[in-house]
Amino acid sequence: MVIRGERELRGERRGRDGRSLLATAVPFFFICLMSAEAASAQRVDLYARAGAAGSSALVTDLVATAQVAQALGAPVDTEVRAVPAVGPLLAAGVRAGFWPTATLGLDLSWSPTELRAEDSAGTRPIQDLNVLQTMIQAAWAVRPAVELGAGVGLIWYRSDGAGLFADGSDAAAVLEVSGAWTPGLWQNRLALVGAAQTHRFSTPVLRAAGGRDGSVTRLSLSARVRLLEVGQ
Amino acid sequence: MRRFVPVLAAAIFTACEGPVIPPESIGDIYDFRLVTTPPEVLRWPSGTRVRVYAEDAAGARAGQLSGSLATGVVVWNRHALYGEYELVPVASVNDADVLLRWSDEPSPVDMSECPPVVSIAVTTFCRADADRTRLKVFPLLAGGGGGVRFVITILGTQSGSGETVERLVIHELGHALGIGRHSPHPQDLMAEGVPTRATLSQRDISTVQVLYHTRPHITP
Repeated sequence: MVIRGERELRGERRGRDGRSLLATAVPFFFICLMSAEAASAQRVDLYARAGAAGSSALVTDLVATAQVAQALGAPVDTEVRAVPAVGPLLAAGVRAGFWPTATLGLDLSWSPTELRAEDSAGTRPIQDLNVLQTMIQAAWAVRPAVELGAGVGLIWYRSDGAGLFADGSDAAAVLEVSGAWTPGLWQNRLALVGAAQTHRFSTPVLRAAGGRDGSVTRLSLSARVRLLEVGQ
Repeated sequence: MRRFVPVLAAAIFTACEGPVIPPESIGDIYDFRLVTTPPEVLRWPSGTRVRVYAEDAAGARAGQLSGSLATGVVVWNRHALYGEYELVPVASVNDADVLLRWSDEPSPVDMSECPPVVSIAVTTFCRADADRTRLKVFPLLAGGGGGVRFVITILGTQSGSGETVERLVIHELGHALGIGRHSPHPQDLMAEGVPTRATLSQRDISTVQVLYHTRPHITP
C-alpha cells in the first residue's frame, strides 16, 4: 500500500546513527541563531509576510478504467484530482545574520484554502483546508537587493474530519528554495519573496483506499515586511 | 553554496510522481444501473447535498428512524472522498429530497401516483412525465411545493429490532443515492434482503465511487 515515505511523513526520518534528524536540526538551528549575534554581531529581524500560495494536486484518483466504461456502456471519469485552491498566505518569523551575506531564519505560516475536486463534472469544493508550516531557512545575498534561500521544515494539513481527511493527516517534511527581492522602498523594510516547496503527502484514508503517497509542489508569492530590527 | 540552490530548485520541479490512487484499487463493482431497457444510470449531480427527512413515530419507535438516518449519513458520506454527494438530515419534509418513513404511519407526501411496493424496506421513485431524464416530485399533502423525489418506506413490523432497522435504512440510502440494483454478493450492504452488515464492503465503496463518476441518464 504505502511504498515509501511513511516514516518521513511522521517526522521520523533518522540519520545513520538512528537519531531523529528533526531532533538534530532543531537544536542546531537555535545554536546557530544564538551564536550568530555573538560571533558576527549581525542584526536580528522580526518580520511578517502576506501573499498567496498554490499547490499541485494532493491526490489523483484513477477512479475507473476504460474497461469499466465499456462494460457500463456510459462515459466514466478515469481520473479525479483533489487540488487546493490558491489561497492567502500569512506568516511571521525571525531572521538572524549568520555570515556577512547570509541569514538564518525561522518562519511560521498559515494558509487557509479550499480543497477542490476536478473531474469531468467540473470543479467543485470538497472542504476547507488549513495549511500550517514551520520552516528553518537560510538565505544568501547574491546581489545587494537579491537573496536566494533554501529551507527545511514541516507541513501540516488541517481539515474537518471528512473525505480524505476523515482520519486526520500526517505531518510531512518540506524542502524549499526561495528568492527575495528588496525593491529599495520604505527604508528597505519591504521585500518580495517567491518560494517553491516540495513534500510528500498522504493520509490514513488515502492509504486505506489503496493510494500511494507522492510528491506535492507548493508555490507562493508574498510581501515580507520587517517589523523590528535588533543589532547592527 | 550559490550553485547548490539552483540544483535544489531543479530537483523540486522534477520531483517524483504525485500522490495517486491507482486503478488496481478500484476492485470489483456490481451493476448499479436501473433495470430498464437499455439499463440507465440514475444519480444526483456531482456535489449535491441530498437532504433527508426522517418522519419519526411516537411511542416505542420514537427516534428510531432519525437515529438510523444519522448513522447512515456517516456511513455513506465517509466514502464521498471528492465531494461527489453529501447526505444531510433535515428537520422538515418541506426541505427534503428524500423522505424516510414507516409503512404503517401516515405519509406527509401524496404517493398515490407512485405507490411503494410492499417489502420489508423499499425506496420509491418515479420518472417525471414531462422530462424522462428527471424524477417526479411527490406533492406534500399539507400543500406547498416540496422537493421529495425518493421515499424510503420501512415496514412497521421491523421496528422491533433497532439493528435491523438501522441496516435497512443504510441499505435504502444507497438506493436513494442511485444504486439501482442489488449486489449479487450476500456479504455486501447492498445485497438483497436484510443486510448482514451496517457498513459498506469494499465492493459497495468501489461501486458508489464509480457510480458517481459515471455520466447519468437520469438526475433527480
